[in-house]
Amino acid sequence: MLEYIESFKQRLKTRSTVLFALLVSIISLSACGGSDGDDEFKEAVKVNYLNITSIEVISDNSIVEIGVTEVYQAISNAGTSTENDVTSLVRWSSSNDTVVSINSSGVATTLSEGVVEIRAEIADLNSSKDLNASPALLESISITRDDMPATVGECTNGYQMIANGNYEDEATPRNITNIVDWTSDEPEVATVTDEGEVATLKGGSVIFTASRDAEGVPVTGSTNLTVDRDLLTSIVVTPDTDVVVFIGASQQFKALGTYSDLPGETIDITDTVDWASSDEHLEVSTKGLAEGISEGNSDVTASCAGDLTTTPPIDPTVISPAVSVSVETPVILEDIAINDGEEFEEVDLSELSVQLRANLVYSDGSNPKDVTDDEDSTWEVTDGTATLLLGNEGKVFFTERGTSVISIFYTDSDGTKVSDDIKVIVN
Amino acid sequence: MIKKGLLAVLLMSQCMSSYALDLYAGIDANYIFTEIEEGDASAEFTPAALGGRFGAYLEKGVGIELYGMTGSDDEDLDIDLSINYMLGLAARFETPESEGGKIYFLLGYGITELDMDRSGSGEPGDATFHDFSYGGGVEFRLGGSDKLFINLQAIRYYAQDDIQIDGASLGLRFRF
Repeated sequence: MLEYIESFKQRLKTRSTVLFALLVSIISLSACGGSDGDDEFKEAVKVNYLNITSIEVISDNSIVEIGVTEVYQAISNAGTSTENDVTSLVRWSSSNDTVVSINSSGVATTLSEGVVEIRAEIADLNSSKDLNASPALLESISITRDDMPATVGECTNGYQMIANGNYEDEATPRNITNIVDWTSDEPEVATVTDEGEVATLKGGSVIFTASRDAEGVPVTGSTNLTVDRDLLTSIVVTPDTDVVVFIGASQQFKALGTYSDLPGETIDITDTVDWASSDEHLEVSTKGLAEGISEGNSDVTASCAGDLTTTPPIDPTVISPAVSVSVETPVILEDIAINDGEEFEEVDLSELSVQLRANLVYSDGSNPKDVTDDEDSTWEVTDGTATLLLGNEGKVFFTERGTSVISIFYTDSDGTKVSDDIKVIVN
Repeated sequence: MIKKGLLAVLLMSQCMSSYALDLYAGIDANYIFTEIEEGDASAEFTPAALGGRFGAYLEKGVGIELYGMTGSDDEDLDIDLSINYMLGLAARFETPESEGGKIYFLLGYGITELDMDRSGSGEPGDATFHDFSYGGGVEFRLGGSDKLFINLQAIRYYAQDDIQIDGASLGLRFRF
């Protein structure tokens, strides 16, 4: 018998050790979870979900200077034949990172002389394009104006200029729009961004210059633009009717310009007009974003080519009709009331049931909304056994004499929660 | 990981060789629910698989088992996903039997090899997924037998980085 007990103890000890070792192994293995192909699987799902059948790498240039950046885009040809920018979805790589590096956004930086292959991959799809980082010297710059005519109206924006660099021993000019320095000799008449985009402000003539240093020698190109003060015929601000802005909230306005040289078109000139509010109830930013400050009415206008800061002030060439804006205190949900806020409802057991009603209470005291059977309302018996609720429509059934507490909970679309309760006394 | 797996197998064989243990084996018909998400894109595959298990009780209601399966394929979003194999080792914990039935839990570690074929391209091909696995099931005596059981089981085999592999099975288990 003793021998058997000793054997049993030994078995127990050894088996427990085995089980303990097994559990320790499992727990330690659990930290090693992972996969050798999860990214590829997920990319395959993404590609088929987007219905992508091929991708193409595009960029402005195939040959660029050393020490500059070149922006690449990956365009997918989805099954619907619409092009989609999938630049941020693909994996970017350079065949030689010491010559050209490229980040996950497709921006390549040339580091030394050489030719590399820039490659975009997603799932089993890929596309590539060669990039030559060349030390060739810039000899001249010419500017093309894309769709910008020689004369444009006031307060336009969005016209694009392209700087073309002519390099030694190269037949094809490079697009160097993003690496030249752009300047305007009359910034009050028209401005130009670092990317060559033009905005006009008032009538006059302006010379735009694109310049770049070529081993200590400045190379420049220039072009003229005339801003005609008579081409802008009207400005309309939208929205223009029943505009209400609550205090602390904002409203984006748009300014649409009509030009005599562009019949039938309205141009969005929100960013280039001057915005004004008639008083302190409303503030309007330079980009047409209005914010409610205090209760009252304000008129919003957009104008062009004026300067009220000078002495004497310069009247605008064109001013929009005023848009009346009412700045109001926001109406917020404050409470909910069962049976208009009664504390109890006395009923007789023989009546079998009673219908409760619930209304929302707003900060301005107006428009109490009946939410008795609203999908955002929840009725509950929170105390007592004298009643029960069938359904979620505030109908209370009596089970015995006594007192129950019935509650309603309501959450609106902004997440504001209100609740109320009422005692139902069953006699 | 392979070394640790071998260690576990050695422990099991040591255990079985030293004592006259209760051994068991079983077969299972499985549905493997695989969900792969990438941002707003997701695909779900439900291939079927035929599996088996072999195990031993260390104590009453406590055992260890090896399981494995191989399966068919399923398609979603014009992607074909098939199970090449699944292998794992798990500890088994059973509740006392009541009216011929019992609940059991499995806690283990497994490796699954899947093959994905996107739109007939053959890519991206095979990939293995290894993770902690856990789940459980209910089991009943079959026809009053004290050796043959039928069971329903649900296991999570893999859940990492927006990929989940779960299984549900109907199986038979024979206790030697």
